[in-house]
Amino acid sequence: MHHSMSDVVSADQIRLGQGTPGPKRRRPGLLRQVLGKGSGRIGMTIVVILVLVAAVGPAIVPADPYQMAVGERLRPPSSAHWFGTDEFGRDILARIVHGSRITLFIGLISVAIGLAVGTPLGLLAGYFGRRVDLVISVVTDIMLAFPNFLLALAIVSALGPSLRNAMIAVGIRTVPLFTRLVRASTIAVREREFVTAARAAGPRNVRILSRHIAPNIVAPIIVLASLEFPAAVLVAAGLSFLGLGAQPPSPEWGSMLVGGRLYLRSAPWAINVPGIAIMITVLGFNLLGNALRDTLDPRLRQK
Amino acid sequence: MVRYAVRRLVLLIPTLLGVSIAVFLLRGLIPGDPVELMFFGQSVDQETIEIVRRDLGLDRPLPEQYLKFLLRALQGDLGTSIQSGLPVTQEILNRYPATLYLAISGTLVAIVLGVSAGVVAAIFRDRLWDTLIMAATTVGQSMPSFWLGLLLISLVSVRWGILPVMGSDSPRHLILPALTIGLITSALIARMTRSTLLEVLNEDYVRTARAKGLREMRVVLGHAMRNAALPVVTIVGLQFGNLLAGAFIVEVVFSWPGVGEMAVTAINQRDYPVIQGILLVVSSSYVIVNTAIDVLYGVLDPRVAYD
Repeated sequence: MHHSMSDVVSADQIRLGQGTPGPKRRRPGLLRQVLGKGSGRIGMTIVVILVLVAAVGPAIVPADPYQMAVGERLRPPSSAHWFGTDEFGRDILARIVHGSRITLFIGLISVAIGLAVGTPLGLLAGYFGRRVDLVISVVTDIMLAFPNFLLALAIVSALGPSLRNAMIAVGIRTVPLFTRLVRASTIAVREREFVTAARAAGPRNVRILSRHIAPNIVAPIIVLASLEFPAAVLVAAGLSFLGLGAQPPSPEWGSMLVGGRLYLRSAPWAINVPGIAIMITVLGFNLLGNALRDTLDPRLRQK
Repeated sequence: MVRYAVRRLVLLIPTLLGVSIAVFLLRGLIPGDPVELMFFGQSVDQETIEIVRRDLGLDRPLPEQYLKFLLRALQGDLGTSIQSGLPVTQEILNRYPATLYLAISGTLVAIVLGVSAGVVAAIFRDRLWDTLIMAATTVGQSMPSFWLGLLLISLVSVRWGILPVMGSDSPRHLILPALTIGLITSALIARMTRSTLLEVLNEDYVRTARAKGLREMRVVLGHAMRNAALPVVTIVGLQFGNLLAGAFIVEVVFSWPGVGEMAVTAINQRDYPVIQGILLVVSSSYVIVNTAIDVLYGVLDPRVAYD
């Protein structure tokens, strides 16, 4: 059920770059264009805030996220504890702030794995075609044949519940998405004139790949990465909620909802604070990704 | 058109085989020796372990093990649960209806909410309603389902005491889980409906209908919707397939006795036969549903067949 917003976008990415003659084209003011839209601005703001919180938050917030205090259990938000305390008396603000690092980390690692493995595979499949393509496509299609969440769930079930395994699982789940996109983009670019021309001039395959094809497929990759980041965060949070990802006492936001669940009635903040944190994070990246996609898709620009 | 359908159907077998291979190979990812894991916590001598290993056929070469696994599965034998001792197939069959029930209701909610929201957004394009609805869908797609479920529980069940929290004894138990699923899924459906409708509304025949003087409502509902229906139906079908694969999280949140909940318990208990069985059944049904939708799409939209 948790799908990335890139699912309905991928086919369009293939047509990206159709209006782009020549091997490379500078895109001045990408940032400005993204920030031009209201939604892009909100998304960027959220992302920047999140990065700041993750970077300096733990240093600023004095409380220890692991410090239990039986006498302070389930206290509502107050001046002593801005977000209240959880079922073990731990300061929720501290847990959120420390957990933000985990959240960012999860997203980064998962997308990094997907990028690092999926992009070269997609390039190879798209560029060399035939048998290489066949092997890679079959494996990719089989992985894509599994429902989204299920693939990550299956991998974690085999490896064992832990944050590290959850990240690996989500990363593996991301790989075929990148492979499929990069392959399609590569094929689209490969067909075009200037590559044929460049080939006639005689440079080696690797050169063609890096110089002509690579710059033109960067755009859809960026968009996919920005949209898969929040998807990875959601899946990892879901895994943690099921007890299959981050383990207690780790302050990962998804697992924070597990403990608070029992105290739904008496201490809703224990659930709502991490829940809202997840939602805002995912929202921010989704908005940013959407803005990037709208900016980088020349079809829309031509309207 | 028939050729397209046949082609897709022919691809079904190798895909299913591939899925079964992947599920089978998953067992290889498990760290540690599976036989020793079975006797975890008990003191057992090496000889017994070897006997059990031979008994289970785990000393045979991998392809042979796979074939045995496949043949048994095709005959409906998915092994025995380590925890309960009951046949896995039986347990899955016991739980599947509940998941089916939930998937259907969730999809219905999603359709009702999503399509109407999408239509409204398309009609009021770029005006207030459109912006509001689009904002709501973006937020909706960013919401973790477990949080939404718990939120609904805390509001509806705990505070107002209207609906029950867990279990599935009565139809009223269905409302909250279906609503949770439906709300999140409807976000995607609303966007799809809106964008498809907008595309269609730009087409020539719509302009013709308008020029003929038909009232806007008639244009939208009559002509445009019929043509926009196809991609939307496709997305709905795909989402349904997704849900059928087990809305694991929602089932766990509401203690809904479906396949997903059983899977999560099995994973936590390391009940590998159950895990494997569920993975196989669920992924296969997902593949079958997707193929069916593909074929249906090919049948209904002849343009696709000339690929």
